Amino acid sequence: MIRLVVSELLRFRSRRLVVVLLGASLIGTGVGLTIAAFRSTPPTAEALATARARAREEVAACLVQDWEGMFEGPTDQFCQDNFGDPAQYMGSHLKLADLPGILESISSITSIMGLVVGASVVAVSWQTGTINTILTWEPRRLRWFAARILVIAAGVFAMTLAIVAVLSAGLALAAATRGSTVGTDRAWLSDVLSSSLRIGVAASISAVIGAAVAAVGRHTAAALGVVFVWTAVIEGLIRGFRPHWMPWLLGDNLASFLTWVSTDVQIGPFESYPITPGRALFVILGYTAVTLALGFTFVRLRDVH
Amino acid sequence: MAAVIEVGGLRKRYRRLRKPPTVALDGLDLEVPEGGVFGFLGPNGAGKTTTIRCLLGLVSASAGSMRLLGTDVPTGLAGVIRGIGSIVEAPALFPRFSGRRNLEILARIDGIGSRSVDAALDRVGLTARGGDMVRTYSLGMKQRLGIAAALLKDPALLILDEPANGLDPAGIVEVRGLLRSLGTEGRTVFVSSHILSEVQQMADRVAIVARGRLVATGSVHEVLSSGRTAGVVVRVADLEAGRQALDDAGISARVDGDVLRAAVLPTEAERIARALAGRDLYPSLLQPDEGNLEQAFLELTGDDHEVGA
Repeated sequence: MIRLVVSELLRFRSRRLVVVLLGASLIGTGVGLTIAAFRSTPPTAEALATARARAREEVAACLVQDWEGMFEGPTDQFCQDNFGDPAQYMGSHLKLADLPGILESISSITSIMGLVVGASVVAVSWQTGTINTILTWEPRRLRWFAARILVIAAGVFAMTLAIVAVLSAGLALAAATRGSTVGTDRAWLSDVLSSSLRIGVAASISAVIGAAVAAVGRHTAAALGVVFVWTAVIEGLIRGFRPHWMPWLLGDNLASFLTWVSTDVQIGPFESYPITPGRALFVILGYTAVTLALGFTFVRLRDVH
Repeated sequence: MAAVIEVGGLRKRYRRLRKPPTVALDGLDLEVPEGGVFGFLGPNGAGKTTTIRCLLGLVSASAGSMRLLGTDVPTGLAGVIRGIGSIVEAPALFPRFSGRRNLEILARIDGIGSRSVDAALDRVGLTARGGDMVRTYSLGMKQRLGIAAALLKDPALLILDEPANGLDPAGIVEVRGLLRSLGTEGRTVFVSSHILSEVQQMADRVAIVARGRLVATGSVHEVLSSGRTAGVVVRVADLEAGRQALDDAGISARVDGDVLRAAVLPTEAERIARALAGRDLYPSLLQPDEGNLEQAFLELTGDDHEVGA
């Protein structure tokens, strides 16, 4: 199995689409950061001192308000969390503290990248006929498909982390020279790491779903079309006509998982349903398992021409 | 001699939407003995590629039994695939990879080292071009690279589907020489083709299929004589006088172009010579009428042919 995985890894690494998408993502990240850095007004020591003073004032003002019954937990913690960050009182400039949010915002791009890579890496074998060659070396189709899925998941995860690493490093550099690094404490680092992990996992899951659907249709465009129709059209119709099914939709669960906060979906006029991150992950894995089961079944049973 | 390929009553039906099913194989029986080159002949659509796909587990058979190297397939295919090299239709290679990289990726699956990759490239004469991208290769070079891929495992059985397809005459000669030499090494080379002259020149034994069924099998000589009455070809200066002389001697003969075809066994050649000499006719040619594989093929497959010679 290890040899098969290594062989599949070589194929994956050599795919032009993988190289092009990764290259384009990294170049895009570099260009975006450069533009942002040029547009950023570096905060001076004076502006920083003003912002710190403003933060102290806002926290003090918060503490004297009557928050009775508005939230759970100590008031000073609430005020510090919501008003105590000096970064929010500084002008328009790059803030390294915004990195977790930026990472979450690129998650849709990395998930689409994963979907395209996953679908393409599987479908190309049928479209070019290389499946004939592969299966005359490893006739155990399920074993081969498992190896390929494993490589796709790991490969897309690594690609996503590479993009995250370049984005983080670039933003850190830009923020250090033309912006602010205020607010980058241990909690921030933890946020960055967990966001990175989540968007890596989301991209991998998208890739696996794309690969599994491509194994059914044996065509990249068809697989992408099916996933697009499901997420954009069918789930949209379900939201409109069957709102009580919303807690089970892929898009809503993916959003909750990526932000890692519980989101309430409106399942009726006066009724909402909380999608917790853990539940979201469970539903997403359910979708993955179902599509994978379909993919494995088709790979095992359908003739290869 | 043990059989390396055994096929019994193989059937394959393709279901089609709102159309009657297509029968690609209709109870095919086949036995390929060990060693040498075995030609698997048939017109386009006769079921050659489907047979190969069934043997290699790419397509599931509707009924029948198959054995490769003494093992039931597809159930035991994983156990014997290490001893089988194959090309199904055109060799599928990555055009943007070098020939060597294509082989290396495949070799990894079986843990085959780079020395074997070098040897395979050398065997097909691609050592000098091994580092070039496959998209720069000619069709013949791609075909040779496909054969190199099939040879990587040092297989006991090579299954090649139309390996000379699309090749120019020089390429055909090259591939023919390569397959012949592989066949003399103790390997079994199973070659499907519809190019009859090709197979006649390199195969030790052949099988002819038509409409998914076996219509003849055996050595090339046996198959050549199976579809026709054995005879003797005679050339004399005066064909009509010669035909009359043979007729008078009780030997049925007919004029066919610039020769006479006598309908007797080749062992009767002496009788023919005596009959002609008795009329002062001396043959400049007197040989068994073997015809060629193409003739036999056309006779055996009836109207179902679309052959290349």
